Amino acid sequence: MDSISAINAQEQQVIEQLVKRVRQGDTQALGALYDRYAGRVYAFLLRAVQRELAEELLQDVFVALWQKVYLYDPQRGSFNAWFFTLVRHRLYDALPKYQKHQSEDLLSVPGVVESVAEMTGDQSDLEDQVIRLFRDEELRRAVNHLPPDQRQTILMTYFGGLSHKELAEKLNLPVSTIKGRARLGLQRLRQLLPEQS
Amino acid sequence: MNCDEVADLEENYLLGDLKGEEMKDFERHLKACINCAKRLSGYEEVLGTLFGSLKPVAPSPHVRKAVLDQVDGMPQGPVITLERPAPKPIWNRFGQNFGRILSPVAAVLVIGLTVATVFLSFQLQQVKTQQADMQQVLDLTSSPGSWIWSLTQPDVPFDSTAPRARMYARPDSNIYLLTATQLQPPPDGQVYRAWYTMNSTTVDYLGDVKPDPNGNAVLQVANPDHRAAEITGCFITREKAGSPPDQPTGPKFLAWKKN
Repeated sequence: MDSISAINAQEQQVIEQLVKRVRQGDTQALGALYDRYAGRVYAFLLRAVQRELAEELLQDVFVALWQKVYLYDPQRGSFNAWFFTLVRHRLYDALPKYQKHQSEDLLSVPGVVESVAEMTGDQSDLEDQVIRLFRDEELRRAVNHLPPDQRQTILMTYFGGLSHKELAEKLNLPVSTIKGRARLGLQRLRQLLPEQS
Repeated sequence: MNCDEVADLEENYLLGDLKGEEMKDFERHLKACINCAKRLSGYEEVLGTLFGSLKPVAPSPHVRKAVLDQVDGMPQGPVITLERPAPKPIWNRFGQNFGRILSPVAAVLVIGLTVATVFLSFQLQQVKTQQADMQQVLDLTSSPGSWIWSLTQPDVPFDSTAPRARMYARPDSNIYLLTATQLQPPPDGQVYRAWYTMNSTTVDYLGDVKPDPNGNAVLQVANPDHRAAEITGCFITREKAGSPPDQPTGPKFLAWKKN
């Protein structure tokens, strides 16, 4: 083990091995992936829905992982990115069926208030609360260094439970503007993020 | 397919949802357009990092069981198996003399396999040891219960290119892990040393931090006493090479302090 990249590479290798086993129908490997990812998926889901639904969706997401893992191609990106995209899509697919909250109403939902307050220790601005969901101080700083419109777009659309279209409607802007901000924000964030993240 | 259409479909591409002509068009564009290829690569990298950094919140334990119960016996998506042509029978190549030729070949194979088995057993044991070591590191770096302390240059504004370090610790882990990045080699005759403060009083030596040619360093230290909860600070200094690591004498180069 000579460097951080060696750790990251080995961690990635462990994940890839677990994914490979899940593809072969190994439920124990799915359990191991659950242990690694469930807490983060649940934290993400709690941003958009109440506890009961978050747990229901959490189950749904891992069942979807089981069923769709054959579609994951490491050549196209990391498992983290694939899985997170899957999680977001499952959430957006499920929201209309259940109880759709606009982001400004989220904090009025008792379950969400409780969970956010537990996680962040306060009930200040929604963007600030989303930022505090990241455990990595450097990452939080990097997000805070984004221009305000890009930061808002990244946080609200990727972590705040809003689609690009919904945020565009909320801000009365064209969807293309929101998409452009999201792209620029991600590019800027990539430059700001330390290599080891 | 133009750049906007590619941008609209990139999540579907990542998910593996594109099919047929749409997939071919997408990949054709990606090969020809460096901007889109770069953006897609950045997209997946940044989102993967953001997702990986979310603070975990423990769900109810019953969800795990419900997931595993539900998938038990559930068919997965299509798995493509490549059909291989059946191997030609060996006697077709050797004709009627195959038995005479096969005997010494089989003997060599048996000896070879025995040697290989012994060699592989030895290798396997080494891999298992490395895996156990790696598992400890992974548990520490990815467990929800771990602490990650960021060491930065004191009183210097945030700069993504500046040296930085992280210390990973957990009350029940047998190791501490310190990683550093973007470190310049120490000046001649000096070394980087890591220290930690216990209960805001005693300072203990953690180890020497040796950056590799890329400026990265990893320091793994045994934590047999499980006293991580008492750590209130952690820092790196530059010290004279060869000096006894009793107490830090140089200024704090990178530091973290518990609020």
